Amino acid sequence: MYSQNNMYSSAFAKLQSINYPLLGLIIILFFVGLAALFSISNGDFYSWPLKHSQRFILGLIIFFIVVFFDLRLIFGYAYVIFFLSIISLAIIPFFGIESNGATRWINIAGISLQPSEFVKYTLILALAKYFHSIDNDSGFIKTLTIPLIITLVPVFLVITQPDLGTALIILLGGISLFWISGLNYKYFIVGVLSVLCSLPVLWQYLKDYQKDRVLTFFNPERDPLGNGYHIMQSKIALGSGGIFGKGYMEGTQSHLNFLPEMQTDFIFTMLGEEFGFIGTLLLLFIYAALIINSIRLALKSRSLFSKYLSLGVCNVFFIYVFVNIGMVTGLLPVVGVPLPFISYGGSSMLAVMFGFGLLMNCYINRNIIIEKTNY
Amino acid sequence: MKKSGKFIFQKYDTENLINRRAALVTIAKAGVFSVLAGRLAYLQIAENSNYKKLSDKNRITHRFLEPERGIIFDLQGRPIAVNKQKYEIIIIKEETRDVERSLGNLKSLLPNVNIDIEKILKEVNSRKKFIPIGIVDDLTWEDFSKVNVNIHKLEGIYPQIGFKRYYTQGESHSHLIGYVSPISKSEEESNPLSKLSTAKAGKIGVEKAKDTILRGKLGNKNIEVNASGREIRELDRVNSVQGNYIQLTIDSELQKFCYERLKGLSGSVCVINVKNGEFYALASSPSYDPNIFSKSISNETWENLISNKYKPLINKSISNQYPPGSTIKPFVALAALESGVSHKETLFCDGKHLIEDTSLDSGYKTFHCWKKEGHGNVDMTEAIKVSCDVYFYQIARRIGINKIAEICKRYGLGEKVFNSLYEEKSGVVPNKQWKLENLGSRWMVGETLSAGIGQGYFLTTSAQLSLALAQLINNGKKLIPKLIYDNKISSVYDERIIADPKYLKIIKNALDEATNAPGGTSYRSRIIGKYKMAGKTGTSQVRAISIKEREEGLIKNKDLPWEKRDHGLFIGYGPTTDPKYAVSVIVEHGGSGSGSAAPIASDIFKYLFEKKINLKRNEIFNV
Repeated sequence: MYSQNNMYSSAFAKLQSINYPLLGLIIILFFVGLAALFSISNGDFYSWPLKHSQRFILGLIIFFIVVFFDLRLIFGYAYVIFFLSIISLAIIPFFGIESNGATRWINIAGISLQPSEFVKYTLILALAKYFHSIDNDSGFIKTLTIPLIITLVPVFLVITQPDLGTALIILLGGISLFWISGLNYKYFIVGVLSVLCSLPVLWQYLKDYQKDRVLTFFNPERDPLGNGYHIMQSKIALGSGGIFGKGYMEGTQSHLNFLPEMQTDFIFTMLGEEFGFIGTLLLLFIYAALIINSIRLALKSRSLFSKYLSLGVCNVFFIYVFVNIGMVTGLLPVVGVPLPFISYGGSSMLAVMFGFGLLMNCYINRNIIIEKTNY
Repeated sequence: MKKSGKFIFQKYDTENLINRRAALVTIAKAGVFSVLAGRLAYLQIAENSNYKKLSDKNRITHRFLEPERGIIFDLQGRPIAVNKQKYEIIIIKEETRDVERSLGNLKSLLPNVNIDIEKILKEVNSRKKFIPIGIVDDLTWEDFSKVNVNIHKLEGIYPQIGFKRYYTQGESHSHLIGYVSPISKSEEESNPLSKLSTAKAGKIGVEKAKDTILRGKLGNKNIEVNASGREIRELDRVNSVQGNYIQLTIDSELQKFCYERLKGLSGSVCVINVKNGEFYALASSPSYDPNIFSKSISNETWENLISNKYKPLINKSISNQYPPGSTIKPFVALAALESGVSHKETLFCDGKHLIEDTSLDSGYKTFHCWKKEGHGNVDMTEAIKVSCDVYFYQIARRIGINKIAEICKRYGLGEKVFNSLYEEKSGVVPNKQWKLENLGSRWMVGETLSAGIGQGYFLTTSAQLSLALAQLINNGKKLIPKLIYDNKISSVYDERIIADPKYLKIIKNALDEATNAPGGTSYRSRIIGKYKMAGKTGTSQVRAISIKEREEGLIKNKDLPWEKRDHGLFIGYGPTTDPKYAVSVIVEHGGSGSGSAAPIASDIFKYLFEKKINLKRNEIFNV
């Protein structure tokens, strides 16, 4: 273990070795979000923009705390962290806060948190440790049962909240790690086929509003004033923005409240309306740059754990962006996924900073070799 | 190394495998981002103009602006029909996702307000979806503010300030002025205001007759609205134009006096200026409060109005037709004078007049004078004064129906006085041709006799009688009857003389005798004083008196049921020295003219003489 002195010096060294372009991109995205929220709140900084900034600062603190942790310590406690996050999910039905017919939040020290946001990353952490530690030639059942269970438990817990969108992101994030870790592609084919076959069964378990959303996605004209309304208004906002947009704070769709949930899930639409195609394309580029940079950093790690963890975090982040933009542009059903760093929402901000803290930690400690442990 | 397929994990070259898989994932991500970028390009560039239109349609809403209705003034410039602000609620189908839910929310918000959801739904679905449909017409301020506060729960529902018509004179003017109510289906095409379901149109009286003048022009505005339909700002506006003002020739004080005088009776009073044809009063009784039509009227109230045997909805001064009875005699006398009959010629009245009628057993048909024992020898003046029927039977027979009809028509009987009032009836002045055309049979001599005393086929309205008398009194100057001042007031009236003033003097004198000489039919109602009135009574039968009944002795009117009693009529003028006004009074089933109508006319003339109201126009400028 380190001495006190060592810790300070190593903290300084760590600060130096942080990849600042990546942090810079994150900060840029934060400012984009701040600008968007400033517009939505009609120039009132003290409503959403202020809280968004406070959350980002809190996120930065979490980021640096995670960055300064010893990677081996994180590796060592990976399952514990995962277990704790699952516990926080599991107690929601008993201690959770209900809002809009879904129970997703718990209150910790006066702050409402959405554990499912964190589970996305703790699952990656647990799976990274697991795939890092397994033997090459373990048997099928033995090798796949445990990761499948630790993936499906949180997915199940989140579905019952109910929160289909987050559950799907957790599932996809987990599966992406199965892929990265080199699971034979045949299993993916089998998996995809079996999921397709079980769709009719899964359909039974969806809540009515979830069924509505899926049906509306496939046929938006089915109910143009009900569920189709959100997606129609979103497309109108984007489409009416044109190439150059209507101008900052000039979006009629957003400022006249035609856009639903515009400070959270549909914030991209509002940006698209005010900044046009140029704005949305630029934003896509920033996200792409962040993702590519993340992948680049991830692949520099020497240990499998670090690679898995970094790539997993990157994948989850990508899925966020993809599902959100796909959703507001009408490519995907409306499932309620925020746009990372930009949407107004505390848990998602803190969770994504936690995730990038892990990624940065892996990058800083890219040369550390982690031994396999018994799992 | 074994082949990869046998392993759960393809781990023979971990480092490479991860890189390769990560690369595949990266390519997939790049692909997904390209799709997103493509989608954005499609929405924001290719489909931009479509979505721009939709966005404008979202935020811009077209609203019509209700014009304020023109005000109706009386002769003195007193406002009679004005507009008051009212709080109303409308719904626009296009702007709500669920009409029924919005209405339901409104109903639970305003539990004390009667909202017939089914009726409104029917209305909403039968109209174009952008037309605002009125839900509540006249709301209290408390309820109105409640709606305003909860507007976000009431999609497509808008509270607004509208106008309601208010009639300052209430029931005394209701027949004449009429009332307004929502535009009916049949009026929709001709009335541009029908784009606003809350707009009203005149249904009767002056409100209907002059609706096109009073209604004004719709304004409209484009407004930017937010998602809950609340107006954010106005983009452009064309203001509505208030309807033009109308000034009546009616003096509302006089009209009220006439109406009050008729209270408890069923009948009408018309007052006309004999010099220029302006009607100063057109009262009808019983009446109704026109202000009840400003709110939606209950079925019960409506049923009561409709089924009332005194017919309060009918304007009895122009819409009810009566046989003129003896009030026709001055005109028959005039016809006789024009036919060369000397007014000095005396005829004998023994109480009845016989004419040959082969269809009867006796070979004669008997026509009775109202005075059973007869009047003896009477000349024209005496005949008018005592209203001798036998004199007029003989005169009528001598000059024939066509001459009588010609005179009556010349004086305006048998045709509408005001062409603009839809509910006005024209009456009937029968002649030979009329009977042939309308009844398909030849004119009988007996019918001439009946016509000579204003019975038979003769039908007139109260307004006609007053106009006819006015033209007789003003030395035969043809009048253009006036109820509403035109925008340009012409003080020049038609000066065409329609009778020889020499003859008219004889008739006027006879009418004077009838009221102011002892023995005259309206002597009891004469006015003692500087100014006097003169006039002719009339009693028109509403039933045929059978021979049997006549033999057994006539039943007194007061012993008959109300609806079988005779109508009492009176037409008069005054002051006798320099006539200014002509008045006609009809009391339905009032018994006799002298008993029921003449006293009322007397009171009205007294009012006119004593009050010396300035019946000069107090001009209203249309602003």
